[in-house]
Amino acid sequence: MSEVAATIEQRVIGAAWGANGYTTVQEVDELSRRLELRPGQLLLDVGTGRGWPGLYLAARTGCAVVGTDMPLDALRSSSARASREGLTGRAGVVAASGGEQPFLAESFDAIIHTDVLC
Amino acid sequence: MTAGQARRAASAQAAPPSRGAHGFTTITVTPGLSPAARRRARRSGPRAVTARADHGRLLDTAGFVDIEEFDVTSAFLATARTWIEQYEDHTGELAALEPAGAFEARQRERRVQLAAIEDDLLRHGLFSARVDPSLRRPTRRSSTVSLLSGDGDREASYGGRLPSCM
Repeated sequence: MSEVAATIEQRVIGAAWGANGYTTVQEVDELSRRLELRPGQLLLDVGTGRGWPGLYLAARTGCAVVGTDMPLDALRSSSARASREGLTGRAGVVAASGGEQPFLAESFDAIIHTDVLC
Repeated sequence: MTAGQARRAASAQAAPPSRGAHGFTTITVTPGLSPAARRRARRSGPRAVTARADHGRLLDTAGFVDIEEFDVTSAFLATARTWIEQYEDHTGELAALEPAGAFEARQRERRVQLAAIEDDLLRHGLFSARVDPSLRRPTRRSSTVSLLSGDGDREASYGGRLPSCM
């Protein structure tokens, strides 16, 4: 992520985690509270792009996260960000479309997606 | 019972049930619009906003419980404005990163969407729900993620380390 993009994102949604939509940090924090995310929980972030909000939630709550999306460049960016944030081992990515998640049922404690259905 | 099914059954017996929590945000067309206003909303919003979806009802139909919906449109309006303002402030740097005309085209799209939000044609909702506890069954622990292979019978488990499958 370029410095200018990070600056813009910080001013718009309150954090710089590779978001380009309309869900703010406050809204993700509210979702986190409702999902009761904490260490030991496994979260699926559908449509994660470059890692928002899954990586943010993993860093903030201690949960583990698997992010899925289609653009490979974005997923590579997410993996790199996970490494920089010290989340290796708690954060992974899988290339998959929203309607074809390749996981067995009930593999995750919680599922999140932000501005994906639209 | 196949070997894969037996492994899953054995693992399932040892693990607590997943919590089945679901949370999301999405942009929707404001309900109750005239046909003309609805058409304008669909032209102005993201691609899939054209779907006629009452997300609360969909969650209920799918068996979720404890469904809660919150209107976060006021924040949506502020965020949409700020994206446009910030991109305007950095036009020179950002336009240079994209093909000629692409940045300007997207700014126009953002302004069209902003106008629709200002006219209460588009809304932003935050939803949370849970799988009905009576429908949940014991499953594997969250330290592993099992991927479906093509035939659905075999699986690749990444015990202790999450996958980076690309």
